[in-house]
Amino acid sequence: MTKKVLVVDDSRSVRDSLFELLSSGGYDVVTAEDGLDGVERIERTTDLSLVICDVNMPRLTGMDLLRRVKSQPAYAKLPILMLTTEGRAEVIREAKQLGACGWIVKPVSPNNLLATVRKVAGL
Amino acid sequence: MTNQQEWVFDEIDSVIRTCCGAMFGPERVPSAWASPEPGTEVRATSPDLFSFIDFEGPDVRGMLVLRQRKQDVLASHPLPRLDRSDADALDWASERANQVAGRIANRLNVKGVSIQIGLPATVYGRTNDPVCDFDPPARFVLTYEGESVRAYLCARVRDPNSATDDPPVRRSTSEGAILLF
Repeated sequence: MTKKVLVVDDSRSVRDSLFELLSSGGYDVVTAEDGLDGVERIERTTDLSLVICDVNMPRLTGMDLLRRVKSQPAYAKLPILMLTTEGRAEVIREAKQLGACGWIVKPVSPNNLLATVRKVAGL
Repeated sequence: MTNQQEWVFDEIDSVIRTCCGAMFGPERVPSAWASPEPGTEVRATSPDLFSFIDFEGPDVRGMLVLRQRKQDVLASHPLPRLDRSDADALDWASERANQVAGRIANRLNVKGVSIQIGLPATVYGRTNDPVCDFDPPARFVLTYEGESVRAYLCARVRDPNSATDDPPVRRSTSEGAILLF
Protein backbone atom coordinates (compact mmCIF):
# COMPACT_ATOMS: atom_id res chain seq x y z
CA MET A 1 0.00 0.00 0.00
CA THR A 2 1.31 3.44 -0.93
CA LYS A 3 2.28 5.58 2.04
CA LYS A 4 0.55 8.94 2.30
CA VAL A 5 2.54 12.07 3.21
CA LEU A 6 1.07 15.48 4.05
CA VAL A 7 3.17 18.53 3.15
CA VAL A 8 2.27 21.74 5.02
CA ASP A 9 3.96 24.87 3.69
CA ASP A 10 2.69 28.34 2.82
CA SER A 11 4.96 28.52 -0.22
CA ARG A 12 3.36 26.99 -3.28
CA SER A 13 6.81 26.58 -4.82
CA VAL A 14 7.91 24.46 -1.87
CA ARG A 15 4.69 22.44 -1.86
CA ASP A 16 4.96 21.78 -5.59
CA SER A 17 8.62 20.78 -5.44
CA LEU A 18 8.01 18.44 -2.49
CA PHE A 19 4.99 17.02 -4.27
CA GLU A 20 7.15 16.21 -7.30
CA LEU A 21 9.99 14.81 -5.22
CA LEU A 22 7.88 12.60 -2.97
CA SER A 23 5.59 11.44 -5.76
CA SER A 24 8.59 10.37 -7.78
CA GLY A 25 9.79 8.56 -4.66
CA GLY A 26 6.64 6.46 -4.58
CA TYR A 27 4.53 8.35 -2.05
CA ASP A 28 0.96 9.54 -2.21
CA VAL A 29 1.26 13.25 -1.43
CA VAL A 30 -1.37 15.66 -0.15
CA THR A 31 -0.72 19.31 0.66
CA ALA A 32 -1.93 22.08 2.94
CA GLU A 33 -1.14 25.75 2.61
CA ASP A 34 -0.76 26.77 6.26
CA GLY A 35 -0.96 25.36 9.77
CA LEU A 36 -4.71 25.67 10.10
CA ASP A 37 -5.27 23.97 6.77
CA GLY A 38 -2.77 21.34 7.91
CA VAL A 39 -4.63 20.56 11.14
CA GLU A 40 -7.89 20.23 9.22
CA ARG A 41 -6.24 17.96 6.68
CA ILE A 42 -4.77 15.77 9.42
CA GLU A 43 -8.14 15.45 11.12
CA ARG A 44 -9.84 14.53 7.83
CA THR A 45 -7.25 11.97 6.75
CA THR A 46 -7.06 8.61 8.45
CA ASP A 47 -4.09 6.98 6.77
CA LEU A 48 -1.25 9.51 6.98
CA SER A 49 2.21 8.01 7.40
CA LEU A 50 4.05 11.31 7.81
CA VAL A 51 3.54 15.07 8.03
CA ILE A 52 6.25 17.41 6.73
CA CYS A 53 5.62 20.84 8.18
CA ASP A 54 7.06 24.34 7.78
CA VAL A 55 7.32 26.52 10.89
CA ASN A 56 6.91 30.15 9.83
CA MET A 57 3.40 30.28 8.34
CA PRO A 58 0.37 32.58 8.47
CA ARG A 59 -2.83 31.80 10.43
CA LEU A 60 -1.23 28.95 12.40
CA THR A 61 2.49 28.31 12.72
CA GLY A 62 4.10 24.91 12.45
CA MET A 63 4.83 24.92 16.17
CA ASP A 64 1.16 25.60 16.89
CA LEU A 65 0.16 22.81 14.53
CA LEU A 66 2.49 20.51 16.42
CA ARG A 67 1.01 21.62 19.73
CA ARG A 68 -2.59 21.11 18.58
CA VAL A 69 -2.07 17.80 16.86
CA LYS A 70 0.11 16.20 19.50
CA SER A 71 -2.31 17.21 22.26
CA GLN A 72 -4.74 14.72 20.76
CA PRO A 73 -4.00 11.11 21.76
CA ALA A 74 -5.15 9.89 18.34
CA TYR A 75 -2.08 11.47 16.77
CA ALA A 76 0.49 10.56 19.39
CA LYS A 77 2.25 8.23 16.97
CA LEU A 78 1.86 10.32 13.81
CA PRO A 79 5.39 11.36 12.76
CA ILE A 80 5.72 15.11 12.16
CA LEU A 81 8.94 16.27 10.54
CA MET A 82 9.65 20.00 10.65
CA LEU A 83 11.20 21.53 7.51
CA THR A 84 12.16 25.15 8.03
CA THR A 85 14.82 27.86 7.82
CA GLU A 86 14.69 28.13 11.62
CA GLY A 87 17.75 26.66 13.30
CA ARG A 88 17.78 28.01 16.86
CA ALA A 89 18.53 25.25 19.33
CA GLU A 90 15.88 26.34 21.80
CA VAL A 91 13.14 26.17 19.16
CA ILE A 92 14.30 22.75 17.98
CA ARG A 93 14.34 21.55 21.58
CA GLU A 94 10.78 22.77 22.05
CA ALA A 95 9.63 20.95 18.91
CA LYS A 96 11.20 17.76 20.20
CA GLN A 97 9.41 18.17 23.52
CA LEU A 98 6.13 18.77 21.71
CA GLY A 99 6.51 15.51 19.83
CA ALA A 100 8.12 16.27 16.46
CA CYS A 101 10.05 13.32 15.06
CA GLY A 102 12.73 15.43 13.41
CA TRP A 103 13.95 18.82 12.24
CA ILE A 104 15.40 19.76 8.86
CA VAL A 105 16.90 23.17 8.13
CA LYS A 106 16.21 24.50 4.62
CA PRO A 107 17.60 24.39 2.06
CA VAL A 108 18.18 20.66 1.99
CA SER A 109 19.19 18.44 -0.91
CA PRO A 110 16.31 16.48 -2.46
CA ASN A 111 18.18 13.19 -2.07
CA ASN A 112 18.79 13.74 1.62
CA LEU A 113 15.19 14.73 2.17
CA LEU A 114 13.87 11.68 0.36
CA ALA A 115 16.22 9.42 2.29
CA THR A 116 14.98 10.91 5.54
CA VAL A 117 11.34 10.44 4.55
CA ARG A 118 12.08 6.80 3.74
CA LYS A 119 13.76 6.37 7.09
CA VAL A 120 10.84 7.87 9.01
CA ALA A 121 7.84 6.73 6.98
CA GLY A 122 9.18 3.68 5.20
CA LEU A 123 8.29 3.00 1.59
CA MET B 1 26.29 55.39 17.69
CA THR B 2 27.99 53.49 20.51
CA ASN B 3 30.60 50.80 20.11
CA GLN B 4 28.09 48.14 21.09
CA GLN B 5 25.62 49.31 18.48
CA GLU B 6 28.37 49.48 15.88
CA TRP B 7 29.32 45.92 16.81
CA VAL B 8 25.78 44.64 16.26
CA PHE B 9 25.53 46.42 12.91
CA ASP B 10 28.91 45.10 11.84
CA GLU B 11 27.82 41.57 12.75
CA ILE B 12 24.60 41.96 10.79
CA ASP B 13 26.47 43.43 7.83
CA SER B 14 28.93 40.56 7.85
CA VAL B 15 26.24 37.93 8.17
CA ILE B 16 24.09 39.39 5.38
CA ARG B 17 27.11 39.46 3.08
CA THR B 18 27.87 35.80 3.87
CA CYS B 19 24.26 34.70 3.48
CA CYS B 20 23.66 36.53 0.21
CA GLY B 21 26.89 35.05 -1.08
CA ALA B 22 25.76 31.57 -0.09
CA MET B 23 22.34 32.01 -1.67
CA PHE B 24 23.13 33.94 -4.81
CA GLY B 25 26.74 33.10 -5.56
CA PRO B 26 29.90 34.44 -3.91
CA GLU B 27 31.09 36.01 -7.15
CA ARG B 28 28.26 38.51 -6.86
CA VAL B 29 29.11 39.73 -3.40
CA PRO B 30 30.53 43.23 -3.71
CA SER B 31 34.03 43.94 -2.55
CA ALA B 32 32.95 47.19 -0.95
CA TRP B 33 29.78 48.21 0.76
CA ALA B 34 28.12 51.52 0.23
CA SER B 35 25.22 53.50 1.52
CA PRO B 36 22.79 54.72 -1.11
CA GLU B 37 23.24 58.34 -2.06
CA PRO B 38 20.26 60.48 -1.14
CA GLY B 39 18.03 61.09 -4.09
CA THR B 40 19.57 58.35 -6.16
CA GLU B 41 16.89 56.84 -8.32
CA VAL B 42 17.17 53.28 -9.47
CA ARG B 43 14.49 52.69 -12.07
CA ALA B 44 14.33 49.25 -13.57
CA THR B 45 13.27 48.70 -17.16
CA SER B 46 10.85 46.05 -15.95
CA PRO B 47 9.25 45.67 -12.53
CA ASP B 48 11.45 44.04 -9.93
CA LEU B 49 10.37 41.89 -7.03
CA PHE B 50 10.71 43.46 -3.59
CA SER B 51 10.56 41.07 -0.65
CA PHE B 52 10.18 42.55 2.82
CA ILE B 53 10.87 40.64 6.03
CA ASP B 54 10.57 42.14 9.49
CA PHE B 55 12.83 40.89 12.23
CA GLU B 56 12.87 41.55 15.93
CA GLY B 57 14.82 40.48 18.97
CA PRO B 58 15.99 41.76 22.34
CA ASP B 59 18.99 43.53 20.77
CA VAL B 60 17.78 44.70 17.41
CA ARG B 61 14.71 45.10 15.25
CA GLY B 62 14.25 46.14 11.67
CA MET B 63 13.53 45.05 8.17
CA LEU B 64 15.42 43.27 5.43
CA VAL B 65 14.48 44.00 1.84
CA LEU B 66 15.61 41.95 -1.11
CA ARG B 67 15.18 43.32 -4.61
CA GLN B 68 15.32 40.61 -7.25
CA ARG B 69 14.71 40.43 -10.98
CA LYS B 70 11.83 38.25 -12.09
CA GLN B 71 13.86 36.34 -14.65
CA ASP B 72 16.52 35.48 -12.05
CA VAL B 73 13.91 34.36 -9.56
CA LEU B 74 12.21 32.09 -12.06
CA ALA B 75 15.54 30.73 -13.30
CA SER B 76 16.30 29.58 -9.77
CA HIS B 77 12.90 27.94 -9.24
CA PRO B 78 13.24 24.31 -8.08
CA LEU B 79 10.80 23.20 -10.80
CA PRO B 80 11.86 25.23 -13.84
CA ARG B 81 9.14 25.63 -16.45
CA LEU B 82 8.64 28.11 -19.22
CA ASP B 83 5.05 28.90 -18.34
CA ARG B 84 5.69 30.20 -14.84
CA SER B 85 3.38 33.04 -13.88
CA ASP B 86 3.86 36.30 -12.00
CA ALA B 87 2.31 34.58 -8.98
CA ASP B 88 4.98 31.86 -9.17
CA ALA B 89 7.68 34.52 -9.19
CA LEU B 90 6.15 36.27 -6.17
CA ASP B 91 5.92 33.02 -4.26
CA TRP B 92 9.45 31.85 -5.01
CA ALA B 93 10.93 35.29 -4.36
CA SER B 94 9.30 35.21 -0.92
CA GLU B 95 10.71 31.77 -0.23
CA ARG B 96 14.20 32.85 -1.31
CA ALA B 97 13.95 35.88 0.96
CA ASN B 98 12.73 33.62 3.75
CA GLN B 99 15.74 31.36 3.31
CA VAL B 100 18.16 34.30 3.33
CA ALA B 101 16.52 35.72 6.46
CA GLY B 102 16.61 32.30 8.11
CA ARG B 103 20.33 31.96 7.45
CA ILE B 104 20.89 35.44 8.83
CA ALA B 105 18.89 34.68 11.97
CA ASN B 106 20.73 31.42 12.57
CA ARG B 107 24.16 32.98 12.16
CA LEU B 108 23.34 35.98 14.29
CA ASN B 109 22.05 33.66 16.98
CA VAL B 110 25.42 31.97 17.18
CA LYS B 111 26.97 35.41 17.68
CA GLY B 112 24.62 36.13 20.56
CA VAL B 113 22.21 38.37 18.61
CA SER B 114 18.83 36.68 18.72
CA ILE B 115 16.16 37.67 16.21
CA GLN B 116 12.87 36.21 15.13
CA ILE B 117 11.92 36.73 11.52
CA GLY B 118 8.46 37.53 10.26
CA LEU B 119 6.63 36.32 7.21
CA PRO B 120 7.99 37.60 3.91
CA ALA B 121 5.81 39.82 1.75
CA THR B 122 6.72 40.32 -1.89
CA VAL B 123 5.40 42.88 -4.36
CA TYR B 124 6.29 44.02 -7.83
CA GLY B 125 7.76 47.48 -8.01
CA ARG B 126 9.54 49.83 -10.36
CA THR B 127 10.20 52.50 -7.80
CA ASN B 128 13.25 53.92 -6.07
CA ASP B 129 15.20 51.90 -3.57
CA PRO B 130 13.34 51.45 -0.30
CA VAL B 131 13.71 54.14 2.32
CA CYS B 132 14.47 53.55 5.98
CA ASP B 133 12.44 55.87 8.18
CA PHE B 134 13.86 54.93 11.57
CA ASP B 135 15.22 57.73 13.69
CA PRO B 136 18.85 57.57 14.78
CA PRO B 137 20.58 55.39 15.79
CA ALA B 138 19.05 53.46 12.93
CA ARG B 139 21.19 52.91 9.89
CA PHE B 140 20.19 52.27 6.33
CA VAL B 141 22.81 50.24 4.58
CA LEU B 142 22.96 49.09 1.02
CA THR B 143 24.38 45.74 1.93
CA TYR B 144 24.56 44.02 -1.35
CA GLU B 145 24.46 45.04 -4.95
CA GLY B 146 24.96 42.39 -7.56
CA GLU B 147 23.63 41.77 -11.00
CA SER B 148 20.43 40.22 -9.78
CA VAL B 149 19.91 40.97 -6.12
CA ARG B 150 20.09 43.99 -3.91
CA ALA B 151 19.71 43.61 -0.17
CA TYR B 152 18.80 46.48 2.10
CA LEU B 153 18.86 46.59 5.84
CA CYS B 154 16.96 48.98 8.03
CA ALA B 155 17.59 48.31 11.70
CA ARG B 156 17.52 49.83 15.14
CA VAL B 157 19.86 48.50 17.77
CA ARG B 158 18.85 48.55 21.42
CA ASP B 159 20.53 51.10 23.62
CA PRO B 160 23.46 49.18 25.13
CA ASN B 161 23.03 51.08 28.40
CA SER B 162 19.91 49.02 29.00
CA ALA B 163 21.83 45.79 28.51
CA THR B 164 22.10 43.63 31.57
CA ASP B 165 24.59 41.03 30.38
CA ASP B 166 27.11 40.28 27.72
CA PRO B 167 25.57 38.55 24.70
CA PRO B 168 25.17 34.89 25.61
CA VAL B 169 26.62 32.24 23.35
CA ARG B 170 23.78 30.35 21.71
CA ARG B 171 23.54 27.40 19.39
CA SER B 172 22.01 27.14 15.97
CA THR B 173 21.68 24.35 13.47
CA SER B 174 22.96 25.17 10.02
CA GLU B 175 21.31 24.80 6.62
CA GLY B 176 20.84 21.29 5.30
CA ALA B 177 21.10 19.74 8.74
CA ILE B 178 18.78 16.81 9.43
CA LEU B 179 18.02 15.94 13.04
CA LEU B 180 15.91 12.91 13.86
CA PHE B 181 14.66 12.62 17.45
